[in-house]
Amino acid sequence: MKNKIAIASAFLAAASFSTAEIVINEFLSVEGFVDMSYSNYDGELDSNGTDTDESGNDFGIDQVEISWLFNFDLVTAQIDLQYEENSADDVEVEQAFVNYRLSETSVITAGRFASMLGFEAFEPTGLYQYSTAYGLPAATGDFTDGILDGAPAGFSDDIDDLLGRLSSALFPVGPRYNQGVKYTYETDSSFYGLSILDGVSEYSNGLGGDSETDGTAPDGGGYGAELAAAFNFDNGISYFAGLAYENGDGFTLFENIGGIEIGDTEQWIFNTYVTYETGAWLFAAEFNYGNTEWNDVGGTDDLEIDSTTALIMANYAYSDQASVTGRISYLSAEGDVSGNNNDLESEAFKYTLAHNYAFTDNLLLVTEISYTESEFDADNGAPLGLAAADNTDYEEVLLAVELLFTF
Amino acid sequence: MRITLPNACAVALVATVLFTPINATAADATADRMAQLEARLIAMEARLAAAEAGPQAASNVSEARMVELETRLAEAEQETKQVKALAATGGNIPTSSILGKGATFDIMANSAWRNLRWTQAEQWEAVRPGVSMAAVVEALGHPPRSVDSLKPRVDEVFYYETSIRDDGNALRGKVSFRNGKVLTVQKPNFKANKAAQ
Repeated sequence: MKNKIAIASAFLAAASFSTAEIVINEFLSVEGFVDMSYSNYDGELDSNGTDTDESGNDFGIDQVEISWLFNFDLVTAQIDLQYEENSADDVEVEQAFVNYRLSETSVITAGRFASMLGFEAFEPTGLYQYSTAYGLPAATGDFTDGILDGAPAGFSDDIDDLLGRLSSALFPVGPRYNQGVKYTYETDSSFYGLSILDGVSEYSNGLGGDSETDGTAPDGGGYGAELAAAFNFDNGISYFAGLAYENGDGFTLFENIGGIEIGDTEQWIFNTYVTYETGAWLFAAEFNYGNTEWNDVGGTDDLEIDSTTALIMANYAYSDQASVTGRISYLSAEGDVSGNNNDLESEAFKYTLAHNYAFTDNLLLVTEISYTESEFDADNGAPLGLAAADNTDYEEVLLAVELLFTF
Repeated sequence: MRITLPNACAVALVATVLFTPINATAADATADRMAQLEARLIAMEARLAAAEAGPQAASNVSEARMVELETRLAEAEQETKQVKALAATGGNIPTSSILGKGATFDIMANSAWRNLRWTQAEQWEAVRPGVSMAAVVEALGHPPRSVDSLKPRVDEVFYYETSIRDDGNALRGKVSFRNGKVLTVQKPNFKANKAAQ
């Protein structure tokens, strides 16, 4: 059931396998899911008094995932292959890691694995709703498509890259997979984890950067680390706290249209949440803080983004097959360019109501309605063209129906 | 030896004779062994009952002898179950195995017992609501299939089934869990299955 995802996500992500599986033989099992949905959004953008309405819908297979689970006693391994509709690749390796069990409580993991941070599950099988609490509006893609009309080749990729990096700064806690090594210590009531990674938000495929300063392009190398602890109390309360850090040598934005070099970067992420389960009720509250610094943006300015995100959620299982969920999520972000105060400012609330109905143990229908309201202000000195988006309000209603099949 | 057609045929013939399981013999051996074990079990149960029953007998039987009998009885019971589980596999034991028939028999019996003990009706007697997941695995073995349930009040479901498809002759059991404890149990329909056979 989904309730266990709350705190167990940290435990499961740590090293051990989910026990749900189809056993093929003594050492190999498979599990997975198919996620399909219909969604419709209606958005209204008010920028400096000019209204723009945008609506759209999406229908199809969102995600298919198959996990291969290997068990050789002390050594276990997992390979997750997935197809995702919005991914650049048709099929990708989402996770691939091997665990070596040092003792009953200690495990070393190496490979590509999920972040330990975050209350919400990274897969739809663990979510209580269709949408996640944090993220850019559903209309983002359609609005950027309008900007891209007549743009030079490759600019679309540049915009996607920029949105991805800004999203990581604004919403630093969310689905994330990195490569590295992780140590976890777990008992029935507590969990501790430490990982050394090739990056957190901005970097991958390296561990550290070029040791020599070549004075030319950014090296593109970085590293990250995560520290996490969770406690499961007997009274239904679970508590989690985690910290992530990333440091890197910079990267290039807008590579396809000349490029804007970003110097050294640094990011801190703090994540904490508490869950309380009593009878058919589950309550959760989460708080996240992120600090992201990009030095020498375009060779001159430094950009610092402080982001606070939070959620409160209640889930009630009113029968053996159905539950309802209410969630309120919040974002407050401030961007500061080279010491000027509040060059960028954004605030958003998202209200979500969802209903889950399980036809069987492995077939679930999720329906959701969400309302998002947000505002964005930018001073004249805002970088990356964001000044043009000053005094912008946006409202969006999202309706979704999702069918989830697990095996 | 040169590789010629006659030589190759000869080697193939010898290999076939050496490595082909003698199914009939093995099945007979399994049946014989099971019958012997059950006979021994019945005899021991009778002796144990007699020892426990009469005050006259009790005075003549030492505590050590009682413990020994009980231990042997438990071992015999376990071995009988293993043999029954092995019989469910068809008793295909290659007599030409490098380990020898006895060793192969034991390995297969243990493996079959580990994987198939849920096919014995008496193993389900220990599976009741409130029992721990570990106790279920101990009684029935690891399930061939399981899922993290999407139902709100169920955590996980173990499926014990000989076929996923809706086959009338298939044995099919199901155990659901909540917070590590058994919530509901759906035992395989052993009677219907026997009748179908």
